[in-house]
Amino acid sequence: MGELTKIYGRGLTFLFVGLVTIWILLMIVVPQIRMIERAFTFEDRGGETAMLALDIDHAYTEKFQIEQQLLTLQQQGSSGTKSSPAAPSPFTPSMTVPGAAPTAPGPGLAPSPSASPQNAMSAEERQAEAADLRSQIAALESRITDMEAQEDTSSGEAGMKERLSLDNFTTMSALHFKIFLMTLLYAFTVTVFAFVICYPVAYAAAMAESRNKLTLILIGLVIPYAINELLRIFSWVMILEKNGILNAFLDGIGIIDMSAGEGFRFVASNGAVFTVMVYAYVLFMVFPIYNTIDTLDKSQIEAARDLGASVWKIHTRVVIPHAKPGIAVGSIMTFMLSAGSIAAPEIVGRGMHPDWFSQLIYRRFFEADSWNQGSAYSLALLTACIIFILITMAIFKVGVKDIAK
Amino acid sequence: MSGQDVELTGVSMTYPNGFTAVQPTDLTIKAGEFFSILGPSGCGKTTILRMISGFLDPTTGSIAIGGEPMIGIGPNHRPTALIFQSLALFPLMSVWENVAFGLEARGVSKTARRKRAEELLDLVALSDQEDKKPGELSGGQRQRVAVARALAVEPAVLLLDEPLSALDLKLRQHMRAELKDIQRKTEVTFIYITHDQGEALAMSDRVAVMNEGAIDQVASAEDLYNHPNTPFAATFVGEQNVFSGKVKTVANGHAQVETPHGMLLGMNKHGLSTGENAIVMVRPERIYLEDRKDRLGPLPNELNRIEARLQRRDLEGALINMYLDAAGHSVHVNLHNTGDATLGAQDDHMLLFTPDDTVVMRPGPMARDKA
Repeated sequence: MGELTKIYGRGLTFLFVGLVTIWILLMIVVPQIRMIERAFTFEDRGGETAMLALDIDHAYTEKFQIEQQLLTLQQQGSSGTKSSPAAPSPFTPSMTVPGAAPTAPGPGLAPSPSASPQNAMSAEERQAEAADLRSQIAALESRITDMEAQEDTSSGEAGMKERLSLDNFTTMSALHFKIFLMTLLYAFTVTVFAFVICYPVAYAAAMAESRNKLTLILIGLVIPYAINELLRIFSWVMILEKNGILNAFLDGIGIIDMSAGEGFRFVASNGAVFTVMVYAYVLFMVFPIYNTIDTLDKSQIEAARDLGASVWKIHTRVVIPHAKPGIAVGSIMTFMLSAGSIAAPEIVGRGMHPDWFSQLIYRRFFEADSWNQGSAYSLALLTACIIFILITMAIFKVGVKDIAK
Repeated sequence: MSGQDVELTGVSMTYPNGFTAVQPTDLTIKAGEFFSILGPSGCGKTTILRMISGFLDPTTGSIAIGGEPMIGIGPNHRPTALIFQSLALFPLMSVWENVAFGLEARGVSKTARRKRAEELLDLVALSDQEDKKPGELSGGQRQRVAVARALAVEPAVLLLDEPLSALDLKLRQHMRAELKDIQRKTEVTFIYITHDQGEALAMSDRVAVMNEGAIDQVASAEDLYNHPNTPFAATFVGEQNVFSGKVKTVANGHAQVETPHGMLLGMNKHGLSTGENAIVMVRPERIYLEDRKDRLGPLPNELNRIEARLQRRDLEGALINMYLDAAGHSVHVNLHNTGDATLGAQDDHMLLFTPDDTVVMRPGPMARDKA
């Protein structure tokens, strides 16, 4: 702090430190605390109060439906005199939703059979019908008032009992847990693929003597990354689709006949997801490795060769030990990114491949509408990733300082 | 361990960009010899070394080691070991692992490797440092590790690429003696690349002087210094005062040259004849001051004489360096420090040097700045 004040002066230092503090607090600390809090808060969705809340929701739905029927009836009454009696209202049949009825408990809630189109209905009949519907609405309203009063006395405003517990984690189903483990395995596989592909590229780039070669390799890697990730993923879909470029190529060289409907469905498989992901994250693997190999004294490679070492020996004993920090950084980044990636499995997988945990988290949040369990799942993934980082650092015997280099 | 001879026949090297680093060269290095290649940076000496070690393929010509042709054989399969200028020790391996790396590459068992590494570290007087990392050693110790590592693969030819250039003067002088000693013990052929004439002269059995991709002269250290054959060898090794002029008369292996400083008589090295352009060279330490000639014992009757005026007089310990001006031409003279503070201190001098110490050659390329 004193050092900073000396270099930048009081005002600027205050600004820097202030902004960094605000950034850390607002962008990291507060959201993380909120997420952890949610993760350890369990919403009891199967309990009495939850069921009550569900009943209230159903009652409201039903009331809305009956109101719609009533509205239709009144419209028919006013328009029946003007328009031709043969013209049926297109809304009437769809207004009655029989499918909604079985979920709604309670007596007198079955849809009135008289709601079916009856153009020949007389004015008297309509009025009787309307009166019936109105009485049904009144009954529902009183029921809702009762249930809401009961809810208010039994729980908080959310309508569900909340308590601190590990239940969000422990209630993870066997299927979800399997997906969680498989996702870690998939991410690890992607990392290994990325390493196998990137190490030779990074080595070649670092060893390139002529500047042009280096520029070419770097451009070939950097320019694709100027394109939005979604576009890159979709371009892979173009390639891998059944009517895509790869099948067209196979058609062109005569392996398959596309006009006869032949073709491989490359997309919607884990292979395709892996391919796209490796492509999406190669850069994060190539550059750290390239940077470390680039700092290796080239004469060490020559010395090893001069002493009779084979290519394998040169790499395992000289180059890879030197590149370890870069490999660790690249692996950590690739693993974290692929474990948390949602775009690639969603777009390329199309729901027809084994699920990734990130998709599951998304659905917990936005489809199951269970933010607490979503938070718990995210926290589990985050913890797994941190454990992976620590293990990687231990295996590569790399410290945080080496990585910072 | 024993050395093998190295034979270069018509070897040349032209890089893809058209630069010719080495002109067609014939060179034979005898088994068990300490051979130096001396030249300024960029003269092609490192290229020759890399061709012998197998990292470069010559454009033309052939290389044989111990009679075996070497073209097309990679560096890992040649009976050579190279000590790099940067040493190129493996920083993540311990000292003994470094030394044993060549054996590891050959699949020798760990216990045998360790034993051999210890023997070699004994040879280079590093026996108690085997478990340290190279980074924990001093410059001279690292140097010795590099030598031990190269010797571990029992090479017939050890190639050294200016390995002492990173050391300070005292250590460098000490390592010269050690390298020479190791060479004598192991009888391996040493090919030593340097731009430092002191290193080359002190250690070598023979020295090749290289300039602009061509070998100028191959001779023993004494011969090279005392009887250089070319203006380049004469000026690159040691210092020379150079005067140019025209040959006036030729007699008894001597030539008399007319220069702006008067007639100078010297050994007619290139057999010049009357009327030819010539350069006359004499070393600074072979020039005497007239008023101090009593210290030299008898001088021949015939002496070259040049009048000069003192510009600067620097004491350099054992020597006194005098820089004089002879009719617009600067002359450098070395005097032995006799302890007399007035030695050569006056302004005007008559410089004397014997015809036998003076060399007359055909003009040619000369060493400009020596590093």
